[in-house]
Amino acid sequence: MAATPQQVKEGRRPAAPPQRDVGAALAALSEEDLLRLRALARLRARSLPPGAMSWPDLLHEAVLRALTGARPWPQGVPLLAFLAGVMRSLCDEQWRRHRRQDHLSTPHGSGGADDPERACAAGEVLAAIQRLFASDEAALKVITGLMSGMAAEEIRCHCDMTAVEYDTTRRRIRRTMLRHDLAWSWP
Amino acid sequence: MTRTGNPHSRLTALLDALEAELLAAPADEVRDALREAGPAGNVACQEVRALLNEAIAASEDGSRATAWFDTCAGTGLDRLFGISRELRAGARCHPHTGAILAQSYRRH
Repeated sequence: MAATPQQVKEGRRPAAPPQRDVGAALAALSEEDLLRLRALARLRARSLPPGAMSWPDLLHEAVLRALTGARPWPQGVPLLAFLAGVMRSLCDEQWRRHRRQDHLSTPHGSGGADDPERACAAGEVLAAIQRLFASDEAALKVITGLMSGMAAEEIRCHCDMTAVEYDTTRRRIRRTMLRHDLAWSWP
Repeated sequence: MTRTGNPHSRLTALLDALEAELLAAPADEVRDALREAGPAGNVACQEVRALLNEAIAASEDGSRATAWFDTCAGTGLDRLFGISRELRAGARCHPHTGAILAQSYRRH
């Protein structure tokens, strides 16, 4: 932020952009948002390295970083989307840490996408998510499309779905995730 | 862009998409899921609320600890108490000081 002429004259530094009050925003979250946040943490925790932190630890760490300003909350970004992003980067950080602590020497020891252990763990998580939707053929098709990075239109064309069928399937996917989160029974 | 690479890339694409679905889920859908879950829904919400409150309390403790280090440094009490320069510098400069102290608070 540029200093005003008055600030320059008085030798004052320009004021920092106002820090968004994460604590107040967290305290104001509705029950629906709490459930959403829990589902986001549980979902993202599935990509953590084996034996790493649990989903409550992941969420706790993300919230702490937001509260302490270690991860500033950008203007215009909804709180939950921001925390989801923090959790996402924490997962990558955990993989890098896991790799540093891992004494097994591997040809690709970065903890990145080319890491064989990470690829193997990812394969297991993908299988678990597919099992969750095993009884819903349409949902499985959409899930497979999402895995391939397809956009909604591509998935609809590929799976020969109408817009209504696609939206209904997405709703079923959301409901399944939320329901299984609450029942604590992801396969 | 279509990503058809290794399992990690596929999982990243899927988690990002499912995350977007959860963020965009209409409030009434989430409310329905809560209602269907009955008492388990309330317990789940209370669990997250408690976790958030714990994090807020921990961050406040971390801030107080950082302020205490600064007060000590300003009054010379740090030398009296034998607080090392590295600790004082860490408390002032490390972006995760609050988090580290709070983590310590949480785990012990």
